[in-house]
Amino acid sequence: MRMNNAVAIVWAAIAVAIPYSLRAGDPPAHLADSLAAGNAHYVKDNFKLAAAAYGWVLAQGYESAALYYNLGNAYYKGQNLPLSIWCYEKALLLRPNLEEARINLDLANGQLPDKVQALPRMSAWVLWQRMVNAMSPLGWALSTALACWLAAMGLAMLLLGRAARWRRWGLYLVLAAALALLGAGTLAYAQWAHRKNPRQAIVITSNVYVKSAPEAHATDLFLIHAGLNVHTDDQIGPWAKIRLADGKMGWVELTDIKPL
Amino acid sequence: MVSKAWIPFIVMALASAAWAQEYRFAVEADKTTVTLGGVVTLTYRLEGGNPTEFKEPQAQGFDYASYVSQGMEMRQFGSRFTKAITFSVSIKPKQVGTLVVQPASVVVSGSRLESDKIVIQVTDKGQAEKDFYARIAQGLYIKVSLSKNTVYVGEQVRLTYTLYRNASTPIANLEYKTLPEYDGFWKEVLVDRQKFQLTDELINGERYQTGILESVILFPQKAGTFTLDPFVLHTRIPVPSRRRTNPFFFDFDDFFGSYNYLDYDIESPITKLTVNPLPQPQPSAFSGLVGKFSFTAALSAQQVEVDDAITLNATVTGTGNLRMLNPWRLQLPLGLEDYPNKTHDNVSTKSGVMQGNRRFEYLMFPRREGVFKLPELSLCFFDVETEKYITLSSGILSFQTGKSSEVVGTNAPTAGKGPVVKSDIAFINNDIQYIIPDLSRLYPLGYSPFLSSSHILWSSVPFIILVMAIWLYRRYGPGQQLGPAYGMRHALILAKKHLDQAQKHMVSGRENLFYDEVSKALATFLTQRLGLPAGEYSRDRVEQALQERGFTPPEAQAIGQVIDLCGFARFAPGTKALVMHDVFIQTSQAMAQIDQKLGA
Repeated sequence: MRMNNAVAIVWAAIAVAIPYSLRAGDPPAHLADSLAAGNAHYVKDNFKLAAAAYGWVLAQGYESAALYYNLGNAYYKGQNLPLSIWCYEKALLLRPNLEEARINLDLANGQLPDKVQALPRMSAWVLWQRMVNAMSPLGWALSTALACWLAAMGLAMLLLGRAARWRRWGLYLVLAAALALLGAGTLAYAQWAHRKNPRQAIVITSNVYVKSAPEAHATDLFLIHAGLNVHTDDQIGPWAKIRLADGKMGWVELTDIKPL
Repeated sequence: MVSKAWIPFIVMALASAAWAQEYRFAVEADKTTVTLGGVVTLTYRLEGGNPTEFKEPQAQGFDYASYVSQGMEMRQFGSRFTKAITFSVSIKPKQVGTLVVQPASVVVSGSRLESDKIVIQVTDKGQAEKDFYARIAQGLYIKVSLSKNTVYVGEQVRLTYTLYRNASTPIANLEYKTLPEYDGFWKEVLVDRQKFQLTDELINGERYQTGILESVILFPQKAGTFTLDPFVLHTRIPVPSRRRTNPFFFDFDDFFGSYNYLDYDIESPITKLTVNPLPQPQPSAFSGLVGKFSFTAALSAQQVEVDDAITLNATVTGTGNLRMLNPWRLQLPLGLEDYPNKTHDNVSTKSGVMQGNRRFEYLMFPRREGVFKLPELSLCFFDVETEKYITLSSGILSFQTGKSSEVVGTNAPTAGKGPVVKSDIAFINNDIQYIIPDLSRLYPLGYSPFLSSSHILWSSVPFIILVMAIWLYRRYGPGQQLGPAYGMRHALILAKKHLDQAQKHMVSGRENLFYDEVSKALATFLTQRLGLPAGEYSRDRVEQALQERGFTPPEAQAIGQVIDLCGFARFAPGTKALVMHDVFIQTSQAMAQIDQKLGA
């Protein structure tokens, strides 16, 4: 019995330690001050000052979904629609299930002058996206780590178990955990890879003529406005090849867009 | 004999074939002396075949003034026709001196033929010729006028190319040579090239014919200094041919006699336009308009019935790039439906500037009763006069809907009576969600919990523990020679089990099974207690091991006999049950004796 208690304590300690070590620590004290200042400015409707305070924390090399979200709100209220859209997209990259950011992003997008009819997506693609974004990066990290622990436990039962019953349950556990690890790992990796290189950008110049080729003299194909989310495919020198949601393609200068 | 008669014919056939292979490729120039700026036409002539490729000479010391044109010539020499393919190209020498045009080549029937070199003397224009051209330039030129030399991005500027011809300068015909393309500008044409016509005008007392070649309004799309494309006309100037010796002193009034024609290009002067960027920072609401504008917005009525149409007209009037203005996206209050807006333009360029108005018409239908407040529309543009961004606002527009009998009663929920009509919860106004005040968790930029170092560590720890557990099990687990204490206890339990089994078989009288179990019990017990390797279990080895552990030889032999007894007792005579009982007792006693002597 004493042995079992010891095992239980070790398990409990591990169960607490993993999430704790994966989640972030408290921000340094001087950043905490400017975060508080940002919130205070926002409450008092000093949106430009709030944006400056949040932006300063970003400049110090720290980020979080909530920080991007608040910064996006400050930009939105400060009438800077393109940057607020950029911030909301960034927040959603860090935490895809941040509903507030989703709502505000939709609201901001609704005020853009460009109306882009998105191409219809296959339902399989939509399902895949939902699965990938079913959990936040922290959730995926925890679930894959948990699957690793269960798989190891199952292997221990399978290899070291004295009774046939233990070995049989061990086998079941190994199979289930391996399956879970494979599934969760694939989805988590897809989310991670998208976040590392989203290949998306927000137009930040108020009027941008999209060119047919990466040169200043190329034909103007169409006109887009600030705030539009574009897919960036390729890059040649100071030119980026962009694709709109409706499939239109062309080239714009890198200074006209802000990549996510 | 017969074969010899054919010889002359064969010879003739061969000869004609050889003649057919005789190609000639020669070059001619229309003149061998030319003044700088003049043009020489080279004609390459190939006789006797069809070329598959023509390669013109390398342009060294001259420019090509035309593309290569291919032609065919038939010539008659007496009764014989020859066919020749010709290639003509015009060249324009670049400097004074002797110009050697390197050979051109053609490929005929797979072999390459080269022409001769051709030498052309290029002389400088004489003073007389220079004067002549200067005189023409004075009387025949294109003037470029820009309404402004420095503009802002998006600000309109008028550009006009005008042709001037002194009445005393004769020209034969005019054609376009190079036309401006206006790269980097949006243009609005004021006077089209098609409508070109000359009118008489008196300038400084001299009679001139003038005509606008092209007039456009340009809207620069980016900042920088632009050199506007030149407008080049090509014309031919008639020169009386009777003074061939010096064609440049001629009397323009002499209309009698024949003329030669001189090629002449009228080129507009180089003109630069400086485009300044708009001042930074640009307001985020900047519409892109540059110029001077006013803005009004009005509703068609102050009060309408529910479901009746109401129109919002937003009109921007002024001078500037009106056509680049995009419609506003209305954020309509709940219960107000809108239809795609219409754009009405009343833009004129007649006065040489783009001015007028652009009106956006929004058709809306109120679907509920009450007061509708429309969001404020604002127009932000760059005023080129004050050089500042100006924001004009419509003010808040509102209208009211009166009672509409069809809607009341069917949709209005009435308390207590009848079924309550449920409706979706709808937003009354749009606003973003509030900030998240708790920002205590921050990550370093780019950090992701998944695949972070601690994630990888925590995912691999269980497997490390597993490997260690397996190693420990192998090292100290049951049945291992290297774990004496645990191994022996396990073996003795096993021996006891065999002995118990044997006792059961003894009671039920199953002889063979009994002896098997009792032998196993003894063997397991002895190998474990005496620490014998598995393969060394025999009576001699057991007796030896017992003596090493302090048993006297007779004691050891007595135990050894038990081993034999277990092996052979089943063949011994006597009552089976009694023999079995005897073997069981002796085995148990032997084991007890060893336990006693060696300690538990």
